[in-house]
Amino acid sequence: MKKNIVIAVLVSIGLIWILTYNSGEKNVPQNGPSVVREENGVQYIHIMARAGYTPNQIQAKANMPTVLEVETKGTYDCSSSINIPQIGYRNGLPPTGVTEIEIPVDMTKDTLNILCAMGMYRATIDFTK
Amino acid sequence: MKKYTLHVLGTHCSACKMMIEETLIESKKVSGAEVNLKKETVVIEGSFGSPKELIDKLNPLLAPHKYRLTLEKEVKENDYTSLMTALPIGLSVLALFFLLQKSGLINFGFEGGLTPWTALLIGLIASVSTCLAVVGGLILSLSAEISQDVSNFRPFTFFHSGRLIGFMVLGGILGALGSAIEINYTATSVLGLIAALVMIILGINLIDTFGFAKKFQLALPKSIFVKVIKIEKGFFAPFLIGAGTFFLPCGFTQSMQIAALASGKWLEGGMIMTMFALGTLPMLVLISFSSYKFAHSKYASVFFKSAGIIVFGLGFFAFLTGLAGLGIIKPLFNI
Repeated sequence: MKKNIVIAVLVSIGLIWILTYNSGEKNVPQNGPSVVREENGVQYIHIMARAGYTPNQIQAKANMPTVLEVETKGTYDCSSSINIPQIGYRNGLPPTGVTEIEIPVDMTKDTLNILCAMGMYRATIDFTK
Repeated sequence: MKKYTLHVLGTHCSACKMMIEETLIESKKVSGAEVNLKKETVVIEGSFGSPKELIDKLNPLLAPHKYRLTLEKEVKENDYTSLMTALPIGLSVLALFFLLQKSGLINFGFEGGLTPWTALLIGLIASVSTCLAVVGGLILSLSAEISQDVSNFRPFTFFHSGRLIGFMVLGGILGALGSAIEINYTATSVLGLIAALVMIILGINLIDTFGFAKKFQLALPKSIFVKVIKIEKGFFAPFLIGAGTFFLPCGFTQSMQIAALASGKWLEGGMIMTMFALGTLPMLVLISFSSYKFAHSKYASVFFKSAGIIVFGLGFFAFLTGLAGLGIIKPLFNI
């Protein structure tokens, strides 16, 4: 009986770890030039949507006209139904292509969460000064 | 003629009540029998020398249906034991499920475009993905819940055919309407929250089959679902619930619906959705069939509690991600 409780506690800890551990952080370059670029005073953030969003931790400049470019490549999972609650954007992305989403300048501060429709995939943009 | 009040174990559904009453009345010595579901007692009217004689005569009749009459109320001492066995099992299944999501083993892209065959493959993948969190969890809880009351697999057959036919017809409609309509993501998210809540309540009910939950009147699944499902003779309710899974939030289902819309042809839309539903079928049949088998085995008690833990965990997860998706709370997870 006690053994079962110990197993249950251990498995619970493992479960919480699995759910909250952010696997993307490690293997993604902090900010490659391919992710954030500037063109004519507009900041472009390029992310890939397939089985989640890559990279899922992005640093970008605050208070700047920003366009989020979401690329899909044969994407049919949840990440193709993109959802940015803070700016009220919800849309289905084409399975393959690049979708541009304009982020209002006044939203380019602090953090912006990009989720999939059901909320299990996430990417976070940190707008720093 | 005398009236006897006895305790009977395992009465938790209206079908059980009828089954016990009908079985008892078959005995020539019994002239009347009435089961009280709440008290788990039965009042038997008949001519017996003593309550002891009554028990000896009637218990063999009830034995094939797994019920037993007793003079004293029996304490379900194995309730705690089975919960302790179910806890590591349920939690391990949850951990393995989320580990599979994190492993990247089921992350595929389909760059070749969408053909009926890729739709089938996407369905297969979807059935072991986070889609399973809502659709699979709901099927597990409903199957476990219904399995307590039915003695054949028919409602499940209706459910699965309802899902297939529903996807075919609704996919066809999406294709025919084409870009004339838009998928309402907020509505799907709200529906997802409701599904998650139902799972949480069903989960609690399954964990504590007839104790705590009953006291607090967590009777939603019994009163709504089982009554609607009309148990063994029901056809429409399981069929409609099966077809209704079309609207349950699942990222894969949504992208298939978008593809069906984009096709602009009813034949193509119906084809995509049917193939997708066919792809999810093996896993979903496995879930409902094994629930049914376990529910009618000697491991029933451990199974119900394990299923309850799994359903509760998935419901809780879906509820939190659903709230995050609507922007109500900050996102907590990243699978």
